[in-house]
Amino acid sequence: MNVRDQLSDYLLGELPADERARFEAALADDPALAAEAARLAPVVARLAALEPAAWEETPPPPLRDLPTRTAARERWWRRPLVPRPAAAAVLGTVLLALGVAAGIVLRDGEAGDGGGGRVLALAPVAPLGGDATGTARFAAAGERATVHLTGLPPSAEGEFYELWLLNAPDDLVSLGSFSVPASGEVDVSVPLPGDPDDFAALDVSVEPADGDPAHSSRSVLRAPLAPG
Amino acid sequence: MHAHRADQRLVAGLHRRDPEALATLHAEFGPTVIGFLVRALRDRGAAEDVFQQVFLEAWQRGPDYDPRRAAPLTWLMTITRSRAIDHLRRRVPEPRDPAGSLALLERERDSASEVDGLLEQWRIAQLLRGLPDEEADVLRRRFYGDATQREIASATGIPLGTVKMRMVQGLARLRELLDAEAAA
Repeated sequence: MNVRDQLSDYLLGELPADERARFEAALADDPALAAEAARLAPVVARLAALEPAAWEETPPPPLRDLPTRTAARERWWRRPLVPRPAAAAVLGTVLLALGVAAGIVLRDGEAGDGGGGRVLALAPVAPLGGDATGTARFAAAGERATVHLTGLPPSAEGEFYELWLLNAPDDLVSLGSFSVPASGEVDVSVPLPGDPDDFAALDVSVEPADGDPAHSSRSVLRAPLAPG
Repeated sequence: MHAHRADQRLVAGLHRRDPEALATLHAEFGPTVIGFLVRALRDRGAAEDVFQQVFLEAWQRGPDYDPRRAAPLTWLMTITRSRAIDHLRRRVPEPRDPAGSLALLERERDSASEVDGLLEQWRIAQLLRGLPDEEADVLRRRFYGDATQREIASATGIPLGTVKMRMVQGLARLRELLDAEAAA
């Protein structure tokens, strides 16, 4: 048996005395294995010291006299978010052009992908959108959006894609972030906490992983949202 | 979805005093906070009262929360520790003479030390929730169920080699989480 296969036996004290002695002799000849054992041994000790109650999950009581999730959804939906200053002007221009530049609103499964709810066709936004296309379906209950995208460049290191609802440069909300695999095709499902008709467009952007939650202004796909 | 992105959203929401961030904090860390409080205070009713105080304080202090100084778990558990110790102090009757005052100080030190020990345990319990299920399961069976790796393999039908591999991976991942938490 490979000595490395005995690391967990050693850490957990499951080796007989003679094998333990052999393993410890092997540690002296393998600095990497010795370092790994030294790194993990304190974790074993801390886990062994946990009281049984710490392993058991206690359901938390609901919060009293504090805002509820229902209230949160309502406020979140209405809350204006501030994009990067440089992005504001770009977004403003892009939103003005929405009526002629972007996709088509389809209804009641016209996209032919089955299922109920409203379906939007996303169209590429130049210059980054290329040949990308996509459809977004809003569940009938208005609780989730499922988005199917194709033709997108795979996610680059240090970047990810993000799905947004846009109204104006200072009124947009993020629905969630996602990665695109090498195939360029991805399905995303995100919760919709309110009525999408309160927004002018559904947007997909490329975002740098720089910790800034604002829109980067690098949109790749977009669809206008019209009242249902 | 990206975990770091979720953390960024939580922090941004706390800064805006967004109720959704409070709901996320409650869902993510509520079980750890109440579990710790029930154990530390040994009184479910008192623990629930202090639990409300903790989240009210998190809500009020959210705009000032600096993620560079502490990860969300550490920040929330620091608030929890303070409120738990406050409660334990209030429970001790006021002494009537100087000797009693000294004894009280000693008891407070002991209480704080016990609270810190428990806090560390529940912090680790919270980090365990961040492991992949298969790794968390073998760690739980070993350290909570007191089963050997061979017994785990026998009970689950998972090959012994796989159990050992998951054990090491789970320990290594937990070590990474502990290091990341300490570095935040």
